[in-house]
Amino acid sequence: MNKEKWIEEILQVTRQVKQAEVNPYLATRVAAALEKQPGTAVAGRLPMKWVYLSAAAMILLVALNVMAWSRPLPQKQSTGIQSVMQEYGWSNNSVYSANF
Amino acid sequence: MLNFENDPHAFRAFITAHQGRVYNAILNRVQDVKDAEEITQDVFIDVFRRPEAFRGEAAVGTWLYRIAMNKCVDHLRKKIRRNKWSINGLWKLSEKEDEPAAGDFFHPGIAAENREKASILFKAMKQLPEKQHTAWMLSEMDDRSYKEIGEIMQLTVSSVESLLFRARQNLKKILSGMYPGEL
Repeated sequence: MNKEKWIEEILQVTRQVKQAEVNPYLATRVAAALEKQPGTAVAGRLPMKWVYLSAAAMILLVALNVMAWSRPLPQKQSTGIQSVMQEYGWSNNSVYSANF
Repeated sequence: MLNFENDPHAFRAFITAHQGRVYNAILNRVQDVKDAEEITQDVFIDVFRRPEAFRGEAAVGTWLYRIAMNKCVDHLRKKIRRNKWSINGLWKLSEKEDEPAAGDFFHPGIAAENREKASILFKAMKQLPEKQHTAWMLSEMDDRSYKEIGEIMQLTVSSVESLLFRARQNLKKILSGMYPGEL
């Protein structure tokens, strides 16, 4: 068989292609995939106002935490021990070396 | 306007009406039964999710074909990228980049006596540039008119004619290189 004839025969094959059978469960598979994919299911059920409210609550919590951490801690007044030391005339912590 | 949100029966009927042509077009384009099933599924999921994308400018079938062909092109590009960066792909860097690595494809709609010839043709078609491949497939295997192909590919009729002419010339050239010699 010469080259031109062979090429034409190969090109003619496209005319002999029949429709292939589709998976009979395609529609069921599409429905299952739509059920399974979270994007559709959650967006369909959860009202957007709750999404915005939750986001606002989270932002508020983070802001409060940042504020609490950035504020300097107040000085502790340890008046109890200091007043006892003053009463006994101790100026430092040399309690063990004191003569009674 | 299409909307299947509250009518699962209508959506099922829509799938049944269009699945055959959509699946076959995808199968002819990607040349892989499993991939074709997955892409067909994705096409209908897209239709369900974004029915507003159909604006009634063309027939529903044409719009479905457009989604399907775009998905095929995306799929084939991803496949090429995957193959290129796979261990096997790294050894084949010298091969043509626009040719996804795959074995012989046996189309389920082709009679046994034509399988060998069809396999040669599908191999040759894979070597065509993307647009030529799509246009050739839609015209020769799917029997679409030039006008329909133009609507699907968003081209003018004269561009389609020229694409098909170049596709035929290129296919002849590729097949000429695959000629096994006098039998």
